[in-house]
Amino acid sequence: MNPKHIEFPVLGAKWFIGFTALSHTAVASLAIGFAFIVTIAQIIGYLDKDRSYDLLAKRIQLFHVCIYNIGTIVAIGLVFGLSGLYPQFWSQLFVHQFWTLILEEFLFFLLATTLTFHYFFWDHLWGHKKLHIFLGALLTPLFLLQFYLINGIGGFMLTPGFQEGQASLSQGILGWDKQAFYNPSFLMLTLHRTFANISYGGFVVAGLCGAMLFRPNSGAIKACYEKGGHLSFAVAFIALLSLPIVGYFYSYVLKYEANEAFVNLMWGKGDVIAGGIDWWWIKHLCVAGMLGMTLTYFWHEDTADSRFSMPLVMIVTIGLFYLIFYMSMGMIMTWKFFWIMLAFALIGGLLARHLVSFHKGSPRALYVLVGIISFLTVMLGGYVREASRPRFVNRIAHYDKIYTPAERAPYLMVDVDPRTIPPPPEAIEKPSLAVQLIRQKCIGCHTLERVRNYRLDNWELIVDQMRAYGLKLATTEAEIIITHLREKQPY
Amino acid sequence: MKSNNNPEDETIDSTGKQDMNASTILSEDENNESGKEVSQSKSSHPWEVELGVYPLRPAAEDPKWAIRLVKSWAVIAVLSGIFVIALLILGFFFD
Ligand code: HEC
Repeated sequence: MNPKHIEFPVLGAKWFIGFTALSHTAVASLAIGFAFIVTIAQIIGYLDKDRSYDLLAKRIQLFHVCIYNIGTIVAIGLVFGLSGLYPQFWSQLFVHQFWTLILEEFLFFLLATTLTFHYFFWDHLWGHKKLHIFLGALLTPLFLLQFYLINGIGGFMLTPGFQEGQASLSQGILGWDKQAFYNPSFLMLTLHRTFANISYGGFVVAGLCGAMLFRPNSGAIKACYEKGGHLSFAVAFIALLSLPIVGYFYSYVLKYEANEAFVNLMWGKGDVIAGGIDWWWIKHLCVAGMLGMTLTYFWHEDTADSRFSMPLVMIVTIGLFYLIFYMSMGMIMTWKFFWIMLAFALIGGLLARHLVSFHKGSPRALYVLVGIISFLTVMLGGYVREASRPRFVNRIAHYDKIYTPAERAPYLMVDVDPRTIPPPPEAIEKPSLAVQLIRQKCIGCHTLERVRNYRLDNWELIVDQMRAYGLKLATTEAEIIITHLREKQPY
Repeated sequence: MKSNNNPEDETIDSTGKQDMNASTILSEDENNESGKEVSQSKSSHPWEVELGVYPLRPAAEDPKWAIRLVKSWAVIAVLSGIFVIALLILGFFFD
């Protein structure tokens, strides 16, 4: 059968999906940060009996209601696009994780309703302020749950797992696949996206407050936006600090579980390079610049009136910590990376100082700038993650054993020449423990070819040697591997 | 432009209508401001009047239906959240 598929004019299928997905990310990623900051601002306002925090919180929540609408519509566009342009991929993913996605839908319903109630009952509940704050505070955990569900699927697309994840793929799983959901990069993706969203939302709120500070308002109103800016900038900064660390462990997981993505990111291969530009580097330039700017900001922050300031010792410590972080990145990638990031952090710091002193101590321009850069970082992060991972069409062989009703099969076509599809693996039975161990443990530093090519018989020595090179292996595991290799069994 | 001379106690009024008014005023004012650069007088920003107060009021003054609705919804949301968490935990052990 000749595969036919829908052509999307001008953009093409891939870029249409990329475009809608990124537009969705741009607005939807703000939701968690907004919900979180609204709650914090409401609590501080309540404790201080300071209306400015509450007014700001209400305004942010109004933005949130709008953004929630736009984000949803764009997401529906994305789902339409995927259903029509990648019908096989999409319907298989849906069959595979049906219950996950239905739960996701349920959570979206809860979120939309809670958000609406929280905003529209704001002024009805001044006698029940704690109840109102509680209702708003529910949004953050609900968002995290919703996020958790979608990350199971997002993580799966990046790291379907070694043999286990892929084996389960071919067993006609209907609706729920725990190994695919709790896949190797699930935890790190979740942590990274959680902190990134809080940081992004916070910097955008600070940026909006900064923009409002450019308008001719009275001192009281300015003070109000300044408070909002300080608060959300501080929240965003704390979340930002965790990101390189989480990202480091994230890449560690990728190194072992999605080596292709790791290599694409670290050494600029595949779609990570587009138009001759390495977008992963650009993203890191943004991050380094933001670290420089925010650290300088907190260093020069006038501590007299701000409760969100930081002692110098802490700033220096954080600075040193990140210096070491970038050194280790330099060792993994290239030293050029280290020097360029250092340069951008310094430039960011100088720029931050200049902007604040140019505006006579007001951080408004800095807030706006960091807000814009955090937006770029999120966009680039989303892009490189999807661009770096192996394409799903390459995995078609593993996918086509998923259950699909026979009458639907003729309609499930992808943009791929059927002759290039490798034959599906024969009924996959779970390999023995020894084989699993060898496949998992012996590919961290070299391929299995290296092991197969070894002709001598002193496996005990070899395995000990590998442990000396850094392979983590329990003694019992080592024995199992050695026995298997010594008996020259296949793996 | 609608009245900005809302006395504080009107904003804190418990009727829903009043509150909707307050929030529409917020957005309309903003448009006006950018249009014709209102003087920096105190009343130019809708928040000016509200900033001074944190209008907590006796619980009895909140509309009953709103409290009942929000309370029930909060219970539903919490239970649903627990339900989803329970499913995720169970899903970790069962396929
Ligand atoms: C921590 C990284 C690492 C892991 C994990 C690892 N190896 Fe190696 N392996 C190496 C390095 C480095 C070399 C190259 C040593 C050299 O060239 O002298 C090597 C080389 C080998 C060789 C060739 C040795 C020779 O003398 O030609 C064999 C065989 C081998 N590894 C088997 C294994 C087996 C079996 C496992 C799993 C139990 C494993 N390796 C896991 C790092 C590792």
